[in-house]
Amino acid sequence: MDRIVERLMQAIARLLTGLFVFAVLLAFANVVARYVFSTSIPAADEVEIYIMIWMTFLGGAVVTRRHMHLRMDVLAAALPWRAQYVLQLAEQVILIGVAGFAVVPSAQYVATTYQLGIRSDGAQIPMWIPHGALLVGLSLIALLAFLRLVAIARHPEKARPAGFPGEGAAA
Amino acid sequence: MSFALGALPIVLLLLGFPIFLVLLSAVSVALTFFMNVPLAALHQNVYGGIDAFPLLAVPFFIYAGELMGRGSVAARLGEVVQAGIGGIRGSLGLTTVGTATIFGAISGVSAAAVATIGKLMLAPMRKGGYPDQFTAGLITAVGAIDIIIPPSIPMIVYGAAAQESVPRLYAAGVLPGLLIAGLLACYVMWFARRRGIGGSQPFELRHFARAVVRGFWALGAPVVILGGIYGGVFSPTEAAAVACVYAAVVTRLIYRELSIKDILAAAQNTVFFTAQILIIVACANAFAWLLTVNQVPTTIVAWILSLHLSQMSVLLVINLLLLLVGCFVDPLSAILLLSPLLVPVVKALGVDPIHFGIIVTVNLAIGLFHPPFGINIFVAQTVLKLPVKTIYRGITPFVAIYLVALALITYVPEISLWGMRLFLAKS
Repeated sequence: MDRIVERLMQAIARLLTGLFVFAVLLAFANVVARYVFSTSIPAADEVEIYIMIWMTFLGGAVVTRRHMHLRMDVLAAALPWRAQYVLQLAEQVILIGVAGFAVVPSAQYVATTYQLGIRSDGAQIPMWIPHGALLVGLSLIALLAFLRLVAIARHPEKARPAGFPGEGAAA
Repeated sequence: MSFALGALPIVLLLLGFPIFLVLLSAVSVALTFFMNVPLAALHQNVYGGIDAFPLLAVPFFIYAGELMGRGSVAARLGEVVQAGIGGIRGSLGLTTVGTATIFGAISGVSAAAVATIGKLMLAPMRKGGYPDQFTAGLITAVGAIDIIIPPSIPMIVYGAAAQESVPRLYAAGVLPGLLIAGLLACYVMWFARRRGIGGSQPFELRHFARAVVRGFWALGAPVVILGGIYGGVFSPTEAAAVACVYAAVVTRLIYRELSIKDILAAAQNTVFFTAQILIIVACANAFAWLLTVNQVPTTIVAWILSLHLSQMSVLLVINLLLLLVGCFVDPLSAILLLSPLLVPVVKALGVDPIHFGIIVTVNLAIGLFHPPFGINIFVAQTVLKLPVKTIYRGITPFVAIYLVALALITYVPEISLWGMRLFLAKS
């Protein structure tokens, strides 16, 4: 299971990297089009923003898996290991509850935009696609939290001490 | 409601839970137990928090900085500065300050600057006779200039949180950044004179010209970014995208230092960094909405006004609060958590929100290297391989210098606002 999840995370990371590079090139092409060809790519801004939204929520799932979320863990790091372990269990439970709670209105919102056939102004992209980022991202975050909860409940030694950096903390 | 808006987020934050989870938990509890609004508001506010074109500048500037930091751009900038001021007493220390300042005009990520400049300057400064304590303090402290000199990621996030113009914030950040660099340079020269540390190499036009030619493309980056924005050629987001392509072309095709694999690895790091930041931005938007509809900022403003405090005293208290928060929370999270509460207060007291954006950024920049937990201390420790005690001791005078600069920036608004008028008048 762990290997399947890790492969999925790698695939998501690659997909988002490709989309991000595409967004950079699209933004650059838009500038070039404006100054060199006196025109612009009307869909460019929307597409770039939607890529950023997917990077945020789907990337948020990878960040969850790799324990890279920003947090203030100075005090938690000073607690005894047992308390830190309990906090980690509590964190997963709250993550499942809160992300699961947020998924419900997201699913309804995505379903409504899909049924109504709402599209973006410039690129005419169906709006359920960018809004779906929350649904997919938060669902994955809840699922990953559940898997982690099971893992650290079964094997307490897998719990990370607070203050332990993830696999690439924000600079 | 005070449980959902106050006690719950504070407790979860102190317990070390992820900041996005803290915010999302507060909003979820408030919507479920204390408010009667459709749950769709949660989705709309979280989504709406990042459905904004100006925020695209965050990943783009991070990517440009990542690419430039991986190549020899900082080294080439350092060579130019060193060749220009090599004859001056304390020239190596001044090169550290100068390189960080110019690098700050390319990258908006402080820790990257500490790592890059640290690797570059530690050995020459040791050889030049600077004590490790001083070198460690200087290298750890100069990184903070990076988020004050535009392009600055915290300023983009402040712009989004306070709904202020990013170009205005960028224009207002230039002089405060240069002021700090100037104060650091004065201290370096004073220190070098006291310790009898001389210049490293006398100025030679030929040597300087050679360094400029070698560093031509590196020097071009700030010209493209800042010149593009203030010349009215690009918006900050477009300037950031152009900077990415410029950085990729310079490091891959001109300097031939990065492979395609390196460029993609930098892009992947940027994706993670973006997700770390923007998921908080998204959830903070929902939390800010919750505060607004429950009239929390209005209540705080009314309470502070009822105390009849002067603008000066309120700014002093806010500075102390931000310095304290900056010791424990990263700048971006601190901006997102506090802006909805503080911006209405300072606006009511007549403080320009652009000026306040610079005050917030300088405060949180100090938190980046302020003992005991400033992230740059640990970055410097990793790069310089020096004991934390040495870094702590070395940092002390630099914290004092930054505090002097903070006082000047806080109580002389013209340092920020004059720069804003000057640069924006030209665009």
